[in-house]
Amino acid sequence: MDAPRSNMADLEEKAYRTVVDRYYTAGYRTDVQGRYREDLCILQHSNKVCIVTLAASHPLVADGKSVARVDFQVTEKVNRLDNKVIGKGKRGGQWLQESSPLCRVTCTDDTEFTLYSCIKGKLVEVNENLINSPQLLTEKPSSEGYVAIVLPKFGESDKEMARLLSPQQYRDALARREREGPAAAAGEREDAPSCSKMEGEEDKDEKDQGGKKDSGDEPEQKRVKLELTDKEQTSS
Amino acid sequence: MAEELKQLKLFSDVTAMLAPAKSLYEAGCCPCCLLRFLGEKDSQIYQKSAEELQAVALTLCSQPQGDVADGPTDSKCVNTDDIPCIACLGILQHGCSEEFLEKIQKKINEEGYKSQLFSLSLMTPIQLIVREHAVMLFLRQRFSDLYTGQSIEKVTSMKDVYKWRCGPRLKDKLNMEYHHQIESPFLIQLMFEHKETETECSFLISACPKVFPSNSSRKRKRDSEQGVLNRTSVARAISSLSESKFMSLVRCPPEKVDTMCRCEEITCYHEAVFVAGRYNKYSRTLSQTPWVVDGERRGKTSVSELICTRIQAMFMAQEYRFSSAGREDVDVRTLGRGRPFLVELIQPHVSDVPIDKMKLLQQEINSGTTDIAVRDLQVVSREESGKLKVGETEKTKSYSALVRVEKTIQPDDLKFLEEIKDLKLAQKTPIRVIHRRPLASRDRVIHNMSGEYIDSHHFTLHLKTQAGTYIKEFVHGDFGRTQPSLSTLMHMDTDILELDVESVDVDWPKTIDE
Repeated sequence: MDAPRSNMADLEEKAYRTVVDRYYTAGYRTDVQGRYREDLCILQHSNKVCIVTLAASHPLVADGKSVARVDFQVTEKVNRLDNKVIGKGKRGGQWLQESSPLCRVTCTDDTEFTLYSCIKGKLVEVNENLINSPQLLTEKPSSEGYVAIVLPKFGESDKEMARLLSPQQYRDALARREREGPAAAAGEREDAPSCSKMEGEEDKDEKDQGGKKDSGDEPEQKRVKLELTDKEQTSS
Repeated sequence: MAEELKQLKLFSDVTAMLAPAKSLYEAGCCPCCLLRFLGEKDSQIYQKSAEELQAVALTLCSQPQGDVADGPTDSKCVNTDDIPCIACLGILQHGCSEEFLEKIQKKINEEGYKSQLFSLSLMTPIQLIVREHAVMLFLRQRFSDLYTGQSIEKVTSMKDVYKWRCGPRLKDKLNMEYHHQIESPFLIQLMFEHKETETECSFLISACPKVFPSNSSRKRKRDSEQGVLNRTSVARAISSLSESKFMSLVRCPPEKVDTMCRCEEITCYHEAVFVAGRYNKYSRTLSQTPWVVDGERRGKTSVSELICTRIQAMFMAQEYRFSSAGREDVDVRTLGRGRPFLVELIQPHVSDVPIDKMKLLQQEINSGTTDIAVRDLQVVSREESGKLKVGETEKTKSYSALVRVEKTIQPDDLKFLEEIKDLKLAQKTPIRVIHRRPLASRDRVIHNMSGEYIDSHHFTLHLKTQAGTYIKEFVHGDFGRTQPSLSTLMHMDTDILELDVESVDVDWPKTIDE
């Protein structure tokens, strides 16, 4: 008495929603760590697990960069590949702050980018496939090219997501950035806890310096900025 | 000698035992205890009616005994049913009375227990150990020639006599089978108490400091005295005392009492009953078990509730536990012959459900819903029930999946799938379940596959896999975390729109002709 396939006839494309559409909620952060256009997208699964991915507007994707290498050795001492989680509770996973770097990306044109967590939580895994297939990062940014899986503290996942831009806010932020250019990129304070005008400009400078910048440790300047950002966040 | 005395088999021949019989009688033993302490072991004797037993006891005591010619002069005024026995405190008197057995019957009928077989269990006051020992020492002292070498172990136990006397009578009242010594899953437990003599063991605490170390017993309050006194410790304490010491502390034979032992608690227990079967699930919005998110119920019902509610009612069980050979997601159907399941019914009041009633139960479940269907519904033994989880990883499952492909395909593009045999997958714990399972990469096998073309962007994938393979993840790749995936095999994005379980290849439970 097998019933017929319920929706066999109803295969119209309009109804199609991808895996990401069906099971995930997207949250965005633009100009991450004050770096112009370095936008990331966090996909939150309905079970509250978060996946860090590149946003389509990130220069790596938007500018069609070709990735040569992804390195998970983020500081002298910390290698994200050393991350080990045990049991259901994922004991022993590295604890990530919003500003924690996940990996460093080097392109064939020698530009370099650091990708950050953007979300507080326990690192479950980084995408090891990126080591051998770095091109996945730009070719399939929101599937095989994901950066890492992060598990926020129990009950905090939605709070973490609320600090990010919604898809609509993200689109608005992109449109504004388009209109106003780099100088005004981070002008919005209320929903984008990113950076000030000055930072945007500095970012541009940093970017211009290209590969020189990324020595592994945060430059002094940078740390000051971070503190600033934190303060502004709490007061807003 | 009277006819009824000839059938007795006592510690010595009946004429020799007449004197102890009289002493026991005068000390205040009921007919059953009298016979017990004289050495009678035959269950038939104890199954006589109270009146018959009383007659035997009276005859024993009124036989001429050589030098003493007179029988018990007060025999007429001794009503053995009214005066509590010094040895059993009335358990073999009131406890075996018609009135009390009717109380048991009423209780069991009220609670609706129905079983093929029952067993009896007695919990008796511990002071009876002291009392029985006192009776024994009394006999050993007064009739040393007859009782030397006899001990309480040689005396038929009160519990056996109780079961011989009451078991067969309860069997008729309850309309269930009863066999002495055969344990039934259905147990009637009788808890006897006797307040009047409750403190009769307390003297042992100070008399036997070795068994009851003083530092622990002194500090405690009076009410905890009973705490250290249990069957084992009391028996140990008694055996540690010499006969003379014991007799200096306890009256032998024990004192008469005013009240009968009462059974304050009749408790019934029934072992779990297991019901097995196979189920189909036709809904894509029904979860297998109740789905609760943040304390909030999602979905009105579930497969397990649809199956178990009626089974629980039929067996009048207090609780149930549902388990199955694997599980499917809320949006997945289970077709074919269905998925084996097992329901453990805890504390059922009814255990005797014949096959035709099980069939009716199955029909009832099936007519109540279109979302699921049940077949092969049957009662299985506890041993059988273990087979559900045997070979969990070796068994295979067949599925069909509605697949959407990103690029245009031709029917011929699906042919290659049939060439693939026993494809080994490395599946990382799916993101979907990673919050409640450890992170690991597991090897799974897809035994075979085939594709059934629907249109340029859709086909049905048929596949047979090792149990535990995550099919959805195999099709969409789970962010590249299942390798290889259908998408890597076809060199294009693939996604799964619908999934059906076509078969769970387990030969259990047995098929029932429908």
